[in-house]
Amino acid sequence: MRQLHRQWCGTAPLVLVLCLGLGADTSLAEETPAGVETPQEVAQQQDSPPQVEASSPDPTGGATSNANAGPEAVKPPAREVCHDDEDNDGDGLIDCDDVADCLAFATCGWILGGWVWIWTIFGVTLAALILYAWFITARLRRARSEETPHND
Amino acid sequence: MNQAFEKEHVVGALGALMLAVGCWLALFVVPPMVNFGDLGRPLFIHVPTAWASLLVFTVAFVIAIIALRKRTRGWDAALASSVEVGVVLTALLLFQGMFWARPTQNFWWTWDPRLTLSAVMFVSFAGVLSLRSFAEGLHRRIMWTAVSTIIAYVNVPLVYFIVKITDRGIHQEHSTPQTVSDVYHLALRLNAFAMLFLAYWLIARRSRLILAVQGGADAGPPAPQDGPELVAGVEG
Amino acid sequence: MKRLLRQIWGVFKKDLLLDLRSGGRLTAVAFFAGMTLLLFSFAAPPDGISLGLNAAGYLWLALLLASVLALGESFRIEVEDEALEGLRLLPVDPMALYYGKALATTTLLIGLCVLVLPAALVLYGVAIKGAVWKMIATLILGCAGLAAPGTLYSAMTSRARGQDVLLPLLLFPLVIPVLVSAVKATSLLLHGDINPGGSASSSHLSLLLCFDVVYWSVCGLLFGKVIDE
Repeated sequence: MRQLHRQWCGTAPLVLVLCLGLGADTSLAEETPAGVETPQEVAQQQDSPPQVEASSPDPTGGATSNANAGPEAVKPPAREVCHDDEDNDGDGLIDCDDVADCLAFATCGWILGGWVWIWTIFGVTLAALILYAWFITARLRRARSEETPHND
Repeated sequence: MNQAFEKEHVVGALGALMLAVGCWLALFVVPPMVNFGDLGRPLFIHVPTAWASLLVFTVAFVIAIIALRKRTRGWDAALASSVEVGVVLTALLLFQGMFWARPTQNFWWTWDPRLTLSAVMFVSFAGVLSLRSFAEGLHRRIMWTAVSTIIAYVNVPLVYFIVKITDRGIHQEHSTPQTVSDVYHLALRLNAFAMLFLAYWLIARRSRLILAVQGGADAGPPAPQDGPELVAGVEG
Repeated sequence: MKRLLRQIWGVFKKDLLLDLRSGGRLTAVAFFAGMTLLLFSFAAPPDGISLGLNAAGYLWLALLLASVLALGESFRIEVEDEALEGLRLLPVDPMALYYGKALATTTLLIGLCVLVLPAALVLYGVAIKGAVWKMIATLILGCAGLAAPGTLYSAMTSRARGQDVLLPLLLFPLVIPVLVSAVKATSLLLHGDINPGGSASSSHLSLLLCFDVVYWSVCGLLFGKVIDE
């Protein structure tokens, strides 16, 4: 009986959390209303959350973010975000067409040969998996062959 | 090796084969993506790695709950190895993400919610492993590993659902087969299952290693039987 | 239930009494937090603006660092003379032990807040613009969120080798969600809400509450496993 009561103590709050989580979900979603807006409104909306970002840098280092949220947030005129299919700064040029803003973007200009990156990602991932597997296998073989075991 | 043939090798070999085919498809067969061009190709390994790591941590969570009740060497080994494989996969995930973000979005790291939470997930499970290395005695080691795994798992659902809660940063909303074009399905599915199978193989081998290293020490109950039980955990 | 509450109250009172009697320890932690606040002001450019902008983050980081000290101390005295073993011999539910200790730590941290918050407001030149009750709620919930996993982990690490490294290593990643939501809520309250009616800070507060409930329930369930040997 006591056991049961104790388990209930633990699970009831979890149910509560689920409800709260749903509540938080909707209230957070309200912060960034979705919908179709004019470019000007889009630009303003994209500005407003980063402004909070600037005034409330999270401890994980949000202040130093060099993403499309950081420096743009401080000065009102928006810059083109080069990968979102939208005209963020309202000059009629979308993504890579906006050369002034997006020249430095690799998808627009492939600064460093793209396949180098692709090969690095695939190669290192596969190599790491193989290395890890080899490491386990080698140690397993040694552990099994050793008659005098040692503590890990 | 005078050991009997162990069943997990079938799964492992299948996984390796599927990963090879999947990577070949992703690199050479699949046409370039609309938005990213050839730089979309890493997604075929990035996304399966992410799925596998989240799933492996989920398995670790389930094993941790079982290990709290059945304090056997076998469950301890299964728990520790699944946490470790999860940490390895998450490290790979972060690496892939960084090397993908640099050419496509011109930064190595950003404070995108999902990315930040993945890093948190990585650090908290790595912390579990280091706590484990400090614990003395089997009982204490099982308990501490299990308890800290369960608590560290609190973040994992958040990593998965964060794209729904906040406005999206560099990670997009969950894709469904309807939002992904047909030609990409095969490569993505192959790699996803390959990662799962490989993760299973790694977990099984790693637990055998832990058992082999510890088991000799005080000839505890040999519990490689826990290996097959794991199959249900990984695939279910 | 009533018995559990009475036990929690007993443990809580015992812990707070110990904290109060060893006054030097409390003062040391408070001074440490204040010093951290001062140090942060050297980390930012000396223009006063960025300090004000980052005030919430600095405040919570100072509290986090101080909480690690307080937690380490709180379990060191339990382990030192095998006091924990003694407690476990008593017919006390481990859950009561956990909630009592966690509540005591929370109270200690809230007390620390009361000292540190005015210091932060003065040092960083900010004022509370939002609702005061929300600020109080943020502080209480944030402290509770730091104390809950902290109590569990310090129970573990206090008996391990290398506890000084382990506790922050395990605790810091776990409290990041708590820290983020607390900092965002505090910052919105200090600098004014972006949404009319303060709904942005409310949503961060509810997120904070979520984490509190999760940590307080899960850690309470698991504490028995940790100290039961």
